[in-house]
Amino acid sequence: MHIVAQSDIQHLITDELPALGNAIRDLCGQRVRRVDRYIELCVLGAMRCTQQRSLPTETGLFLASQNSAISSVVEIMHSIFDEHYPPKPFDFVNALGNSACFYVAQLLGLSGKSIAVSREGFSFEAGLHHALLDLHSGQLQTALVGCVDEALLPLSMHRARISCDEQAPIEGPLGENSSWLLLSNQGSNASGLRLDSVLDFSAQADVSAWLLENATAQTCYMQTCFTLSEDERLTIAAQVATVAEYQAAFAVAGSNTNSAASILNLLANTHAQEQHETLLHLNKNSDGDYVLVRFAAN
Amino acid sequence: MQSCMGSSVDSYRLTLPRQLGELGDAAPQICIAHLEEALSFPYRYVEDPLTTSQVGRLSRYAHSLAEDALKKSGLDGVARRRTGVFVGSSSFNVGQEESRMTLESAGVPAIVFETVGQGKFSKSLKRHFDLGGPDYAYSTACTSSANALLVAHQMMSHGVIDHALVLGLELFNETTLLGFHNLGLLASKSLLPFDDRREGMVLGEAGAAIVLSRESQEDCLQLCGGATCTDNRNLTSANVDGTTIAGALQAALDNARISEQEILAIKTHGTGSPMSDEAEARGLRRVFDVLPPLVALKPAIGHTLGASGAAEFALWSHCLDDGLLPANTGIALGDTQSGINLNQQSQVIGGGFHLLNYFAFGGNNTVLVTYRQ
Repeated sequence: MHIVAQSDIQHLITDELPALGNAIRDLCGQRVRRVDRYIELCVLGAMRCTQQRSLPTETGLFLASQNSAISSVVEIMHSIFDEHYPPKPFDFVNALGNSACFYVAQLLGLSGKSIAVSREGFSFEAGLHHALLDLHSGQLQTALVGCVDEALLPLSMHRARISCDEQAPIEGPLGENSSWLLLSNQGSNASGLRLDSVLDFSAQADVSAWLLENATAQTCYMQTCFTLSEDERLTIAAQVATVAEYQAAFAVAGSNTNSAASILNLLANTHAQEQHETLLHLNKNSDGDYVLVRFAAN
Repeated sequence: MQSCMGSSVDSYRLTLPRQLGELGDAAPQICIAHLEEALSFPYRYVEDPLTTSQVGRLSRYAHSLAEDALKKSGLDGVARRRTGVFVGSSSFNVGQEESRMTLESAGVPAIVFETVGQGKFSKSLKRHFDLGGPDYAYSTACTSSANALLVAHQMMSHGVIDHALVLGLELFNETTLLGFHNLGLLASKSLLPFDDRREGMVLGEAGAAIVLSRESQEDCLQLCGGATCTDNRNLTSANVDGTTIAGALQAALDNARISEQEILAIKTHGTGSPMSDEAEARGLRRVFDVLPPLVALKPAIGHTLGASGAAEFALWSHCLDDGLLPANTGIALGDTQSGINLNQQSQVIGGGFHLLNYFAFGGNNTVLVTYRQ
């Protein structure tokens, strides 16, 4: 599947959220009203990725997120339990997982498939896998895939919510991301790459077995995500021409957008693309499952 | 086609009424009592000592349903390594979060649990039951678990997995109740789809687990395909002219490669809300010159939102396993303004195809195609 376009928004959040309204208005030609922060992030990322392109109405929309619209959910609960008021209608509807899909679809004139999916540690990979199945089968010719996670203020509350242990909260910087890819079976291919496959593995031995069969005969460049150990990287390095660890400007704690940013970084690595026929992204979750995304030169 | 090898749904614990209208005026506004009795789970998880192990009510509920469905399916250890997990819910653990806030407001130390991350449920199911396939969570409002079923079907069709554990979960929470109340969508008494007396929906609480398999099995319901389309006109209602729902119905028929003449019966979305029913009625009439028998399951179990996809699929499966199409006696009878009549008498149904309709806020319209020999 050709990679037509990509965009990535990353904000490291310290004490306040950068305003998005003007950037959205500039891209959309209008203000998008009655929406929350999560929807704003989705709309801005999607519009930056598509950049005034006229997409087929049946374009599929795949929105991935670890936490979805958490600020709206918290706002509603605060209203109910602290202020004893029922949620405002738009606040309630905006908190639903797929409301952001509606706004993106409306602004881009899309009426095809849309879905909001989450997978612990692998949400962007999940979105890519869903899109790829539809593109491979011919159910879709074009797909817009995004991975969006927002930050909740105050950050102390956000840090507590994304941690399962309040005595030992997740450390590291907090932020918000909106990462998007536009994929197509047809048309221009700005990157010279195509998304080839998204594969699941239950153990590192399975990854190695796959690499042995599929990677050694080619010049492969692999980018690993943060969660792999040094030993694992060394094992893989024996099988793949080049292995590099994704070096993020910052990694957002408790967010799946880290791997989205990692994939977009890989696709922007023109040096790696000049030197290698195949680019691989390998990610691992806390249960020891792996997902490998393969991009190939056209 | 994927076979429904086993399923577990709360409403299965009820004596499934052949006459779906019989709950009628007696239906409580929130249909939760039967679930508590059936599963012996306390509504307020804080009273349950199990919470000290950080296992929330939703997780325990999901695990119980999944265990039952997997047991019925007979999948062995090898088969389970080729099984994926697909969970749909519109609220996931919002109810737990509400309980925590209530406790904190009362000055009671909150019980620690993970408060965000929709994928945590599907991952915990995968780990607990040692399933080797991928695990996904879907949140597309009232189509959440219908989409989970459809993606599971797709992944099996492509050979990504051989079996799928699909769950629909929706537990009571005040956010949802007050949200729908404030939108003016709740009925004061009963849920009467397509009926001139309809005044809105009655919310229900449900959980359902379904095991689908690529292995062909003739004596069970088959999932043949379907489609999801996006109505980008209105955030909270399908286009009342029926065009977008007709588009979803036609896309589902095309996906399953069948014509509308081959449809024996339709499980409507049928929420009882004026605009939603109007849109569905017009959409159906755009696609079908002659409508097959129509059934609504929500008068019996309430609108179970994100769980409705899996819960109503499971109920549909149980009905057809008995060879009977259930009836909505007394609902949408005669010359209705919607132009829709629901099936009035329980009747024997032969082999053939059916459509299962699900429509959601955010313009997400999903239609499933099933087959029963």
